[in-house]
Amino acid sequence: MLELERLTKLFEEGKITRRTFLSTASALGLTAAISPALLSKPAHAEGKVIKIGGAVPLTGPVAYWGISTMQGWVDGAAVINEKGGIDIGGEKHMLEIITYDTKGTVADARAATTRLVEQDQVKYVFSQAAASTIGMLQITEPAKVISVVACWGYLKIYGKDYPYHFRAEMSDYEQGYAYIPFMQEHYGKDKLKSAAFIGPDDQDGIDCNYSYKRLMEYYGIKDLGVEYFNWEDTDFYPIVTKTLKSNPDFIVTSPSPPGITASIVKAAREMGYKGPISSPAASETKTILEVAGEYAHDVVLPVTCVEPVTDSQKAIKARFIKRFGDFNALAGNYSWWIYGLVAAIEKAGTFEDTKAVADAMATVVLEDTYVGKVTWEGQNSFGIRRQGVYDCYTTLIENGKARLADVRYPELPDTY
Amino acid sequence: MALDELTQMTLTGINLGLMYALIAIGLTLIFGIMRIIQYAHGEFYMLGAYVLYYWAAVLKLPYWVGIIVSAAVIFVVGAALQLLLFRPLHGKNILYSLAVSMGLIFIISSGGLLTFGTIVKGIPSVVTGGVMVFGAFYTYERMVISIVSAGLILGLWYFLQRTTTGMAMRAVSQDPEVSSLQGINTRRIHWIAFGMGSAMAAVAGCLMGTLLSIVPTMGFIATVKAFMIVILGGLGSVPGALIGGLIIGFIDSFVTTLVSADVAYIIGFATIFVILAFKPTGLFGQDWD
Amino acid sequence: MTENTKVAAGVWLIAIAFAFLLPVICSYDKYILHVGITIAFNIALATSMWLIWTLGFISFAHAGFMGIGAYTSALLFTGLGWSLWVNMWLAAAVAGLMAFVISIPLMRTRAVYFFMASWAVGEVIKRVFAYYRGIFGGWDGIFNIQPPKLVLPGLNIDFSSRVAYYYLALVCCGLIVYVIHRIVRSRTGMIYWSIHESEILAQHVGINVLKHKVIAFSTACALAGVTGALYAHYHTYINPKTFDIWQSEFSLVHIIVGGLNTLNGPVLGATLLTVVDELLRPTGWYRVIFFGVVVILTVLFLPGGLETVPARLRALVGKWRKRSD
Repeated sequence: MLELERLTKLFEEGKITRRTFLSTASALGLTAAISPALLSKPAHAEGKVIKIGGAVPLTGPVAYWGISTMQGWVDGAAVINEKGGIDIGGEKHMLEIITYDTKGTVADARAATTRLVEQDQVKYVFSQAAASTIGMLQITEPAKVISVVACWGYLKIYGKDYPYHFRAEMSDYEQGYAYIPFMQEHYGKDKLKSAAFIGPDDQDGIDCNYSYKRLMEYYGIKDLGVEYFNWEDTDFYPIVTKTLKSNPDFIVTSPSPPGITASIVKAAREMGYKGPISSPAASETKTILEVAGEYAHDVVLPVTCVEPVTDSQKAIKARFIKRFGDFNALAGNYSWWIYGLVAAIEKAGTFEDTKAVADAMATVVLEDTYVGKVTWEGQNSFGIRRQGVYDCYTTLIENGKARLADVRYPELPDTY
Repeated sequence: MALDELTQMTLTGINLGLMYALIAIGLTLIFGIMRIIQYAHGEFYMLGAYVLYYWAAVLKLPYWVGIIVSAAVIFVVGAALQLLLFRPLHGKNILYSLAVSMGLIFIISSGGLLTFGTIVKGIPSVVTGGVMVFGAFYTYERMVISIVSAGLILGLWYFLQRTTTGMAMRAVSQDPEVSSLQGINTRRIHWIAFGMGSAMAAVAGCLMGTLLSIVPTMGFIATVKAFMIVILGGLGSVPGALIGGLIIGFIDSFVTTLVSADVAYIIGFATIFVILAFKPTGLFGQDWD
Repeated sequence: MTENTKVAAGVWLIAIAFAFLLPVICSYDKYILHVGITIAFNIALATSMWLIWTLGFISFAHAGFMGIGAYTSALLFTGLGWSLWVNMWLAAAVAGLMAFVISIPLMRTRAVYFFMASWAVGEVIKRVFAYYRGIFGGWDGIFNIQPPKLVLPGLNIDFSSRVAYYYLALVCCGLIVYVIHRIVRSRTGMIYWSIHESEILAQHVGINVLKHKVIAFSTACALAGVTGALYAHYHTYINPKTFDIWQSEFSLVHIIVGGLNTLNGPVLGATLLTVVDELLRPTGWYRVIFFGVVVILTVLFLPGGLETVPARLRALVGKWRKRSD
C-alpha cells in the first residue's frame, strides 16, 4: 500500500511520466511478442526436404490439445532428422514441420491450411479437434493432401469419399471395445446393467452419444438417456442432478476435458452417487485428482497411460521433458502419428505421389509406440482403412489414487 | 417436481447467485465511481484464482491466508493498472476504456496461458463432508463458500455506509465534481475503488476455483455474468448487484436443470433487454450522460 | 478541393487499382487471394460498424446481424436451392428488418447501457442459432453452402474459383464502402455527426434523433447482413460461434487502431491488422498479446488512430523546419 502511494506520488510529481513508463514497458513487450516470429528456424539448407504442415489450435479453448499434437510431430521430426532423415529410393530426405494457429475455429483452420497447401506447398498436414478438421478438409481433399487428425464423430466428412483423410486418434467408439470389457471384468457384468450419458451440447456431444448408444446396444446395456451441458457452464450440479434421476449403474461422459470430467465426478459423488464414471476424453489424471480430491473414486480413463511402462514410453517421456519442459499423456498418445506417416512414405517409396502414400499408410502396422501396437482399421464399417486403432491403456482412479489398470487392444466386432 | 430436486436447485441457485454477486459488486464499484467500462474484470477473477493455486496447491501454504494474499496481490495489480492505463481516459468517451480493457483481456488471458499453461488445474478443497437438507445433499464446502460470499458483501456494504473512505466513495459515485469541491481526493478514491473491485473479483475466483476447476480462459465468462448482473441491477448500485446476482444465479440453476443452458442464457439476456427497454438505467442504476 | 482531400483521393485511387491488380501482381497465389477476401469481409464489417459510430455509439450486436444475413442466405440455399444473387438481397432485407424492429426499444438506452443492451441482442441471436437445432443446425452449424455461378450469354463464371470470388468480394466490399461514403458525405451524414457531438443539442434544433438512429442502425445492419451472406458462400460452412461477440470486438479493434474520424480509419485498420494477423499466425499466443498491446498503445498514444499519422508527421516536420529556420 505504501509502495503504491509512493508510486502514485512519483507519477503525480512527474518524476516518472506515464508516457516513459508505458513506452518502455510496451517496447519490451512488443520485442518479446515479435521476436519468436522473426527468429523462426530456417529450413534445412542442404538435401531434400519434406515439409509437413500443422494447422492446429495453438490459442483458444482447445489449445491444450493443439499444442500436445504439435509436440509429437516436432519431436518425431527431430528424432528422424538426427538419424539422417527418411530414406526414399536410396536418397535421404529431411523433415520440416511448419505450424500455424487455427484458434480452434473453422474459418481460421481454413486460412491456415490454405497457407500450408497453397503457399508452403506441403503434401502432408496434421490437425486437432473437429473445428480445425472441418476447415482443413475443404482444402486438403481436392488438393490430394494427406491429413492426419484427431477428430471424433462428424462421420459425414469421413470415409470412402475422403481417401486422403486419416483419423489417427481412436475415438470414444473404438475405445469402448476396450474399456467396457475391462469394466465388466472389474466391476462384474451384473453391476453394469444400465448407463447414462453426459456430453457437451454440440456436434461432438451428439456424435459421442451416438457412439455410446451403439456400444450399449452391442453390450446389451440399458441406455437411460442423455444430458447435454454447455461449454460455458460453470456449475455441473444442474446437469448431474438431472442425470442421477434415472439412477444409472454407471455414467459415461464424453468428450469432456479433464476439468469438466472432474467437476462432473465431484458433483455426482457429492450427491451420493456410487457407480463408476468413465470419460474417454479426459486423459489428464492430475487435474482430476486436484479438482475432485477425495471424491475421485471409480473413475475410468481409457487411453490414458498414467505412468510409462515400456522402455520406448519412458524414452518418449524423457525426451519430451527435455525438449518441451513438460509431458502429458495426451502428447504421448499423439507421438506415434509421424512415425506412421514416415513408415508409409518409405513403404510407398515416394513422397510426391500422395495416393500411393495413402494406400501404403492403410497397411502400416507399428509395433512399439507410446500406445503399443498401432494399425489402421475400419474396412467393413467405412469401406476404407482410415481409423487408427491401438492398445488402450486404461487408468483407474480409486480413493484419490490413479493406477494403470488395464492394457488391451480393442475387441472390435467383425463388422468393424 | 420432487422436493429434493427443488431444494437442490434452490441451494445451487443461492450458491451461484452469491458468487456472481461478489464478482458483480466489484465491477459495479468500479463502474459507479470511475464511470468507465472495465471489460477485463473477469481477468482479475482468473488471476486471483491462480494466486491461490500457487499459494495453496503448489507451495502448500494455508488456504485461508491464501485468499487474503490473493486479494492483496490483485488489489495492488488493479490499483497499478488504474494509475497507468485508466486514469488518462477519465472523462473521455467510454469507447476508450472499453478498448483498453479489451486489450487487457487479450494480454492477460494469453499471457496467463503462456505462464500458467493450458492444462486445467484444481485447488484442493479444505472443507469436506456435507449434510442432507430436505432430501438434497448440501456440502459443507458450498455452505462455507456461500457464507464467506455473503459476509464479504455485508462487509463491503458496511464499509461504504460507515467508514470515511467508504462515504467518500459513495460521494464520488453520486457527483464527482461536488465531492471534489468538498475536498475529496477523487484520484485517490479512483485507484482504491479499482483495487477493491478487482480484489473482490479475485476472492470470487478463489472460491469458484476451489469449487470447480481453473483455467486461464475462465475470466471471460465471469465478465459476461458480471456485466449481465450489473446492468440488470443498475450501474453503481450494490443492492442492485446482489439482487441481480441472485436472479441470474436462480435462472442458471433452475432453467439449466429443467430445460437447457442455452435457454438460460437466452432468458437471462432477454430479461436484461426487456428491463433496459422499459427502464433504460437498470433496476436501481445511475444515469450517465 | 483542398490539398488534403486531393492527396486522399489519390491514395484511394492507387489502393483501388492495387486491389484490382492484386491477382496479377501475386501471380494468382491462392493463399494471398484468400487473405484478400478476408480483408474485404473485415473492411465491410468494420466500415458498417463505423457508420453506427458516426452517431456516437458502438453496437456489439454487429456480428450477430452479420450472422442473420449469413444464416438467411445459407438456409435459402440449402432449403430452396436459391443462389447468392437472390439471397444477398434477402439477407440484407432480413438483417435490416430485424435491426429495425429491435432498434426501437434498443435506442431508448444510452452510453454504457446501450453497449450492454446491444451485447445482449448479439448473444441472444447467437444462442437462438445454437438452440434451435432443427432449423439452424445448432452449434455445429450448416455445411455445404456453395458459391454461386454466373451464367450470362457469352459469359460463364464459376465463383468456386478463388480469383472470381476475390473480385466478387472486392466489388461488394467496394460498394458497401461507397454507400457509406455517400451517406456520410450527404446532409444526413452531417446530421449524424451533430447527433454524435451532442444528442440534446441536435434534438433542440429540430432533428428527429430517434428516427436517424433507427435508420442508420438498420442500414448498417443490412450491410453487415450482405457481408454475412458473402462470408457464408465463401467459407461454405457457418456456425453460431463465427458471429459471436469476439467478431464484433475485432471489428471495433480495427476501427480504433485505424481511426475513428473518417472512413479511411476502419479501411486502414481492417487491412493492416488482417495482414499482421496472418503474418503472426505461426506465433500462437504472442499474436493475441500483440493485438492487446497495439490496441492499448493506440488509445493512449495515438488517440485518432493510424489515419492521423500523416498529419502528425506533417506537424512534426513543420516544427522541425521552424526550429531550423
